[in-house]
Amino acid sequence: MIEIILQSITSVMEPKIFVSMAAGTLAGLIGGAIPGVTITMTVILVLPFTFGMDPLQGIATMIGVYVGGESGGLVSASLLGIPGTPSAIATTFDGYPMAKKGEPGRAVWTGIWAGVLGGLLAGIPLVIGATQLAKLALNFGPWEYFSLFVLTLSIVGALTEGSIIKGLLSGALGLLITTVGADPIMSVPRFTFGLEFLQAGLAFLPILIGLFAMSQLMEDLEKRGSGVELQSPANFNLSVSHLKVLKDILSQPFNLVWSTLVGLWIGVLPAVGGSAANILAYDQVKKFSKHREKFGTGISDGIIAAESANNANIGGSLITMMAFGIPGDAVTAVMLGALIIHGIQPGPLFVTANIKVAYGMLAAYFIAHLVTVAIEAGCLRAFMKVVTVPLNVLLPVVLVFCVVGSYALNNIMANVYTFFIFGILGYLMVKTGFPLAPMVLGVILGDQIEVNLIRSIMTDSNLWLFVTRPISGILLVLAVLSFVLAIYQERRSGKQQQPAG
Amino acid sequence: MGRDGWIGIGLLALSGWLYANLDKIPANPFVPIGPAFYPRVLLLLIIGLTLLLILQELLASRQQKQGVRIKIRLENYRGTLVSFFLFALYVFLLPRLGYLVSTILFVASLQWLLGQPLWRRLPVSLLIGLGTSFVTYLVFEKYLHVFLPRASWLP
Repeated sequence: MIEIILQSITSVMEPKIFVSMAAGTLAGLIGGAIPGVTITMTVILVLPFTFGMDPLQGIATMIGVYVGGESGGLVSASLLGIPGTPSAIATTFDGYPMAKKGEPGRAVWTGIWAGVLGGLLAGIPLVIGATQLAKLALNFGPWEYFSLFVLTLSIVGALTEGSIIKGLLSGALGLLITTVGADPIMSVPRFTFGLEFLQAGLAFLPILIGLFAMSQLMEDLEKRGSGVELQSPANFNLSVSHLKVLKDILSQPFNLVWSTLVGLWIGVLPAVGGSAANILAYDQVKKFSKHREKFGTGISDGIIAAESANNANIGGSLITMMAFGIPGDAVTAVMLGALIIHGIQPGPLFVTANIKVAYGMLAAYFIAHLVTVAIEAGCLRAFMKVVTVPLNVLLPVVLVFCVVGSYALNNIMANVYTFFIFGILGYLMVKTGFPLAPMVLGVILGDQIEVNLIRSIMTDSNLWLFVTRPISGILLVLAVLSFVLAIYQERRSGKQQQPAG
Repeated sequence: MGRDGWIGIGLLALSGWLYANLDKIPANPFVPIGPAFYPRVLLLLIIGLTLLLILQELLASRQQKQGVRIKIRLENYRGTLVSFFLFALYVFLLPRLGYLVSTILFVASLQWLLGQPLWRRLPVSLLIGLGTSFVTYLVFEKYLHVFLPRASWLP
C-alpha cells in the first residue's frame, strides 16, 4: 500500500496536477477567508474549471479547495472575529481575543499549524479506513446497501438542526425528486408530464448548486440589509516564531489527538459537517481542561481544538465518500458529482476499480495541507484585502459561475432552469426552517436506494430479509436508534426551553 | 393555523396530485414490482410525515394561542427580490442574447443596484460586467473548451 501511495504522490506532484491543485488550494483559502462564501460555494465555483481536466487532476483540485478552505476560514475568524466558514465558528472564541490581545500572528499560525497537524494525523485512518471499509462494503448485497442508505438518511434527517419531521420530509422530498424521468430498472418515464426537459430526469449538480449557493447568497444579502457589515482589517503584525507555535501545539498532545478524533468521527457521519466538528471538539477540550475558565479569553488550547478537528473532519468525510459513495458533507457531495461527471462511479468498488484516482486523492489530501502552509506563509496579508470585497461585486459574479457550472454539465439550458428553480426552493426552505442537507442527500442516494430495493425484492420477495440478514438488520436497528435518540433530544431541549421561556 | 400548517396543506395537495398521477405510469409485465412502486412508497411516506407536521402545528397553536408576530423589515429583502428578478431575466435572456451580452447586462445591473445606485458608479459596474463576461468567456470557451449559450435573437 505504501508503494501505491508513494506512486500516487509522484503522480500528484506532476506539474500539471500540482499546479491546478495549488490553484485550488489558493481558491479555497480565498473563498474560505471571505465570510459568507463558504467552502461548498468555492468548490461549486471551481467545479466548471475541472470539467476539461482528467479525473485525478480535477479531484485533486477540489481537494485543494477543501483543505485550503478549512484553513482560510480561520484567517478571518482570528483577525476579524467573523468566521469565514461555518467550520471556523469555534476558532473565533479564542482566536479573535488572542489577536485583540496583540498576538494576531500567533492566533493565525496556531490555527494553521494545528489544522495541518490534525489533518495529517487524520490522514492515517483515512488511508487505512477508506480501503478497509471499501473491502467490507464489497460483501454487501442489495439488502445491506438499502439499509445503509436508509441509516444515512435517517441520521441526517434526525440530526439536522430544528424539527425532526421537517428533516425527514426534506429527505423524502429529495428521494422523490430522483423519481422524475426514466425509472432506473426499465427506463419507464415517470412524472414527466409531457415536458421534454424532464424526460432525462433532473441533473444532480444543478439541484445541489441551486439549493446551497442561492440560499447562501440570499441569506448574506439579507444580513447585509440588517446592517451586518465586514470590518476593515487593521494593520496586523503577523510575524511569529513558528518553532514556538509548534512547541505550544505539541505540548498539548491530548488536545490535538482527541480533537482530531472528534473531527474524524463527525466527518465520517454523513452530512453533519465541519461546523459541528469544531464546536464539539472545542466543547470537549474545554470540559477536560484544568483551566476551563480561561477558554474564550484568547488561549491556544481552544484554537488547537477547533482547527485540528476541522481538518480531521475532511479526512472523515473522505472515508465515507470513498468507501460507500456517501457524502460526509456538502463539499464531498459536490465532489461525488464531479467524480460521476468524470465517469467514475463512487461506492465500494471505487478504490479497487480506480486505484490511481483513489490513492491520488489520498496523496492530494496530504500534499494540499503542506501547500496550504506554503501559500499562507507568502500571501496571508493579501488575503486580508480580498476578504473585504463588497458583496454587491461578489454576488453577481458568483451567480454567473453557478450558471456556467450548471450549463456546462451537458450544454443545455434545462440545467440552468433546474438551478434557478431549486435556488428558489432552497431559499424558501431555509426561510421556513426546512434543512437542506437531507434533501441533497436524498437526491444523491435516491436512485441507489430504489435500485437496491427493487433488486433485493426481485431476488427474494421475503421482506424479512432486510431485518434477518445480520449487517442489514444492525443497520436498520441503528437507523431506528438514531430516530429515538433525536426524538429524546428534541423533547429534552423542549423541556429545557420551557422554564426559560 | 401557522406557516408550517399551510406548508403542510400545500405538500398534501402536491403529494395527492402526484399520487393520482401514478396510475398513468405504465406497468411492466416482466418486472413484478412496477416503476410506480417506489414513488408510491415515497408519496405515502411524505403524506404521513406531512400529516404529522400539520398535527404538530395544530397542537403548538393550541398551546400558544397568541402567536408571536415577527416583524418583517421589507428593506432587508430588497436586495433579495432585486437579485431574484434580475436573475430570472438573465436566465430568460441567456439563450436569446447569448452568454457575452446577457452576462454583461446581468452583472453590471445587479452590481449597480445592490450597491448605491449612483450614476457615477455606473461605468465601474459596466466595467465589472465586461470583465466578468469576457474573462469567463475566454477561460471557458477558449481554454477549457466549454461551450457557453449562443444567441438566438442576435445574428
